Formats: sequence, structure tokens, C-alpha cells
Amino acid sequence: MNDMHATAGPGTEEEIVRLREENARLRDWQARSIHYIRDKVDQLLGVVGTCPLRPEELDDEMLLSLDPIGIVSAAFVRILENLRETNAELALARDEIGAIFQAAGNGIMVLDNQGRVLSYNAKLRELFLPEGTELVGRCCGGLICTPGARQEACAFDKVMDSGAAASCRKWHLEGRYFDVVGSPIKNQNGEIEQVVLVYNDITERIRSEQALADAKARLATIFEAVPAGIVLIDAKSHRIVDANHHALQMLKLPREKVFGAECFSYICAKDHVGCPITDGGKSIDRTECTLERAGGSSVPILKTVAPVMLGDRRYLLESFLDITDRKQAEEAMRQALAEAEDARGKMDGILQSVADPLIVTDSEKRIILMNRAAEELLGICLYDSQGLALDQVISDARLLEALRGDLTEESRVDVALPAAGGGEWIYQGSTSPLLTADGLLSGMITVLRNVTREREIERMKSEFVSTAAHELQTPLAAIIGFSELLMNQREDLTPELEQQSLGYIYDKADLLSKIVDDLLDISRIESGRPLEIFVGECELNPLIEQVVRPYENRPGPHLFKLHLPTESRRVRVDRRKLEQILDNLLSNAYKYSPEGGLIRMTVQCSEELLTVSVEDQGIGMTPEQRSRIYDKFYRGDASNTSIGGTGLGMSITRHFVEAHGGRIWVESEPGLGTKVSFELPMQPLPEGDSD
Amino acid sequence: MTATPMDELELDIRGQVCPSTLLTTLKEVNGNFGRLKAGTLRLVVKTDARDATGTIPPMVTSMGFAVSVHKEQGYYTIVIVKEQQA
Repeated sequence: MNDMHATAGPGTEEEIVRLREENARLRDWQARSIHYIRDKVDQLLGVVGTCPLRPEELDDEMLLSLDPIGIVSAAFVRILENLRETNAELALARDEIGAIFQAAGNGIMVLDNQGRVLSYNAKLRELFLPEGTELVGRCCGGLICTPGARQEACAFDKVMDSGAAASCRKWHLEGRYFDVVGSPIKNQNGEIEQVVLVYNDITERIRSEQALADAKARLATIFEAVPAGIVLIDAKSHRIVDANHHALQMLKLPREKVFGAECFSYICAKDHVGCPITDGGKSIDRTECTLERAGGSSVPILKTVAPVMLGDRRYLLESFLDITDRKQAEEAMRQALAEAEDARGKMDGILQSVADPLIVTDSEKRIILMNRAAEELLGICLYDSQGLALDQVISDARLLEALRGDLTEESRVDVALPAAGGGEWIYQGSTSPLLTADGLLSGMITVLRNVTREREIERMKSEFVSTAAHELQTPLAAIIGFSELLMNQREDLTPELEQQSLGYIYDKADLLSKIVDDLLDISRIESGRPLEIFVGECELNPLIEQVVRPYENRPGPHLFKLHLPTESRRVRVDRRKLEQILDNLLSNAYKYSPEGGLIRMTVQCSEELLTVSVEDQGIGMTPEQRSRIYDKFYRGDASNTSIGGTGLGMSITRHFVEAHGGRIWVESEPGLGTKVSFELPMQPLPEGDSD
Repeated sequence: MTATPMDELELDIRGQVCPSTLLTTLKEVNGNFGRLKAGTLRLVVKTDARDATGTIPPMVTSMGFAVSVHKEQGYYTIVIVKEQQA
């Protein structure tokens, strides 16, 4: 520059002056620009709260290169961006809080510091406000806290008085309970601007607590009132931790003695071999054992032990009942059962000793008992049929009908049942009611008695009466007729006719005499008295010829042959009874040979035995008739009234033969004839004896 | 949750007075704004200008960062991190 000043002309001088002036203007402009920049920088720094930028701290060149305005501006841009983000977040948070406010399960209300409502949520409206009521701008006191409900200082007042959060517990309103929590919202000066009240509905919790308390009270009442001893035992130590009043009474010990004692000291002390639950692994134990009481006495108990968890600890809950009465009852029952068994045994013995079939039924007509005879008759056994209804075990309809009849009173009924060997038996069922001690009908006893024989005898007796009347009537009619003839017309009769009439009268009277003799004989036999035999000596052949003669001379189609021993012997017999025997056999032979035929009598006699047989060619007999030929009143064909007789002849004959120590037998075939034989032992004759 | 790997940038401006300290710090924050905002960088400023502890924190807090000031032996450490990492 100096070189330029030295060489410059006048024009140059001017130029220099101009340049100097321009330089001065530029310097001034620069200074003012710098000043302006520093001023703005200081202004910006003042905005951010720091002190001005001193020139000695940062010269102009450094200032420009540092670019503080740029720095602060960029910082402000960042701040503005951050503010926008923050505002956006705050708006979102506000929306969230608003949603939470409305959706909260608690009633929430915001008040200003004068107690006026600024806002409230839907839950609060639901809890407290009637439809159409608006709270905003109004004091809540009279609208939510009715005079009756406001039991203590309200949460708002507490917050305003204390300046801090406060609460009202179990605030009660119309049957519901609330915890009310108040929180202050303060301004920058710490003054309360707003108060937030939160109403937490605890009604269900309060009710649950009350229900729990009630349940505990009930459990305690039950625990004490239950009529059984109950003890709670620690499963680990086996020490009693609780016992009810009944348990203490049974133990006869005070609570302090029982609590803490080992359970085995009192329960199962004698036969304790370990805990069935903790040692034996059982889930439940039910045992009869003894309870040791104070004073050394013991009582029988039925105990039940079960494990229980209370909290995280295991216990044994043991209950026991005094079973002294039950044990005594069991003993009494055992004795009663033994007596009942004994009685049953006796009754069974009696039942079995009854020869007739006997059946005991209950009120429902089910079989309770029966004896062996009944089992055999019905073809069932008691073991299989006990408890079954009669119709389940008895197939015979007639018997079933008889047994199922009206069994409320004693009754008798005849029933015909198949006999084991064919034919049928007649049983008389006799029923008697089985009554309880109270007189109530508990069943029936039915005895089935075989009355076949009785019924047959009754039938035969009935037939006999009819037959006997006929048999007696016939000769009586002849006697009366001929007697009248002799009395009224005797002078008109020839001597032969008169003699013949007297003969008829005699014969018929003799016949009547024989019938009466038969009746007397059978009456004697029936009475059980021994049949008297009047033994005497007699000549055999004349005796037989005398009996046979009327039959030989009897007119009719029969051919009679008699075979006698060639030499007559003297025999010792009851003459009259032998005659009666022979007459009966001959009479039957004639009666049952209505068409005639040969009738043969054969007599054989030795030193020891007299054998006689009478054989005909008559109608013969069936095996059944043959087997019954000696029955009293039995007549082979009772329906044939043309054949006379009382049905007593063969029975009497057999008794007479057997009274002599002999025997009689019959051979017969239907349609071929019959042969009746008997033999009598011959009694030795006294030496030198003669007829 | 896995921690984000983070670098640390130490700015030792002890000896500078307040406005300069603030401006230097702001320049550094502006220059590393992205990494700081992403949480991958932590800026540690060492200063012995006590006034700076009253000016730097409000500014960077307003920018959305978390700031903590620690008194060291003869100086202060101002730690600037992403807001949630303070």
C-alpha cells in the first residue's frame, strides 16, 4: 500500500481518498453489523437465560465462525420439535386419561377447592345420581352425601383440612359400602386447586367378610354343638391342638390338660401301634376302640380320622362317638339272636317231627318254612324256595288254589294230589293264622294231612249204611211178609206151605242173625279188643259138609265141587268161626259168579296145617280191588246193587284166620275168576281126647 | 430387554465461561442430535463454569433430553442422554 501511495499520481490520490472513505464506511458497516450480531446473540442468550457474550471472551472473527445464532436457532428448532412431540403426547395422554376416567370401575369426581363439581365419570353417575341429575357446577354434599349417609367428615373436607390425600372407610349409603379416597391437585404454589374423590364400591367385599364371619361363627357353633367328640391333631407331632366341648366332657379333662397332649394318650392308648393315617397310609380310618378318661376309666368309641389341610399345615380331624349303648344293645341283640336261633332250632325240630307236610307262609304268601314231609310232597326244597311266592314253587293248580285262598281265619280244605305210586292222595289242608305279639296277621301255617284213608273209610261207611240197610231190609221184608201170611191166612194154608213159610222166616232170621254177628264182630275188631277164639275139637269133614250143603243144594247155574280129605281128621279150631270163614268164601264165590261156572272147594289137612281154597270162575278182580279186598266196608263193585253184602265179610274172615295164627291169600284175574285160600296151623290134640 | 450399545462423547470445556460453554454444548448437541435422540450416544460435558449448570440443563431438557449434573472435584459433569435413559 505504501508503495502504491508513493507512486500514485493526483488521480491516485483521489482514488486513495475515495478508498479510505469507502474503507471507513465498510469498517463502520462491519462494526455495526458485528454489533448487531452481538446484540442479537445477547438477546438470544438472554432468552435462554444466560449472560451476554463479552467481546473479550469471543472476538468478532470467532463470533462469526462460531455462529451462535445458528447454534441457538438450531437449538430452538429442536425445542420446538420437542414441544410439538410433547404436546402430541400430552393430547394422547389426556385422551387416555379421559377414557380411563370414564371407563374406571370406581366412581370418580373432581371438585374445585370450593367443593363444586368440575367433572365426574359414568360410574359415579351410575352409583349415585338419579336419571337427569346434573352435578357439574354444583356442590355434591346434598346430592351424593345425604344427611343420613354422611357418617363422618367427608373426604373432601379431610383433604382440604390436611392438604394431603385422605380417605373415609366403609362409607355407607343405602345398603352399599364405599371406601372414599380424596387426593388434592395443587398449583405451583402448593395451594389446592382441585380435589379428586374416588368412590370404591366395597359392598361385595363387606358382604363376603360378613358371610365369612357368619360361616366362622356357624362352624364354631357346630364344632361345639355337635354331639360327638372332635379333636384336631397336628399330623406331624400328633399333639392335640383343638378339641370341642363334647370331647372334653367325654375325656373328663380340662382344656389345658388336653391341648398339647399326644392323641395316643387318650385315644387307642391300649392298642396303639401307630397312626393309621400318617404311618399306615390310609386316607380315612374308621375304627372301634376305647377312649381313656381321667380317673382310669374307659369307654368304647367309634372314631373316624381323616387328614385335613389348614393353610399349609396338615392336621388329623378325629371325631368319636360314645358307643356304650350300642355295644350293650349289640350284646343284648347277640343274646337275643342266640335265643332266637335256639328257638328256631327247637321250632325246626318240632316242624321236622311233624309227620304231616307243614308249610309256613308270610302275609304276602311267601314261603318261610316247611318240613321235610312238605318238601317231599311238593317236590321242592326249603333252601331253594324260601322267600319265594307260593305260585313260584308250586305247580299244582289245585293245591295252589287251596293255599292261596282266604287265609285270614282257620279253614280246612281237601285237595287231591298225585300219589307217588299212581292214583291220587287226598290231603286235608288245615290253615291257622300266625299272629304277632300285637295280634296282627303275619302269616299262615298250613298242615297238609293225608286223609285219603279216612275219606275212603267215610265213603265206605256211607256205602255200608246204605248197603246194610238194604241187607237188613230184604230179609226183614220176607219175615214180615210170611209172618203176616201166617197170622192172617194160616187157616187157608196147606201144611206144606205153612212149613215152607216158617222155613223162609227162619232162613231170613238166620241171615239177619249172621249180619248182626258180622256187625258185632267188626265192632269188636274196630274197638281194638282182642278177638276171642273158643277152640274146641271137632271132626273136619262133617263140619265142612254142613257148611257146604246149602250151597250144593242151591238152585242155579253153578256147578259145585268139593274135595275133602279122604279121611276126616279131628281138628282143634273155633268151630263157629271156621264155619263163618267157609261160609263167607262160598258166599262170595256164588255172588261174584253171576253167570254160573264151576265153584271148587278144596280142603287139605295134615298134622300141622289145614289148607282150604275156594275157587270160582266169576268176574275176578283187578289188582287194585285185590289189594283192598280186606278193607272194611270195601265192595269190589259197589255200584252193582244186585250183589248183596256189607263189605265186612273178607275183613272179618282175615281177622278170624289170623286169630287162629293162620294166613289168607287171594289169586284173581278180572274175567277169569278168583281163588281165595287160607291155612290154619293145626294145634295138637290132647292125648286120648275124643269128640 | 437388551440394552442398546451406547457410545460416550466427552466434551471437556473447562476454562470456558458461561455463554461460550452453553453455545459449545448446544453446538455439540445439535451436531449429534440424531444419535442422542436414538439413545446410542451419551454426551458428557465437563465444565468448571458454575453458571453453565443453570443454563445447559433447561435448554437440553426442553430439547427432549434427560440431564443430570454431578459435582466433581473442581468441576461439574453434565450428562446428557435420551430422555428415558437418565
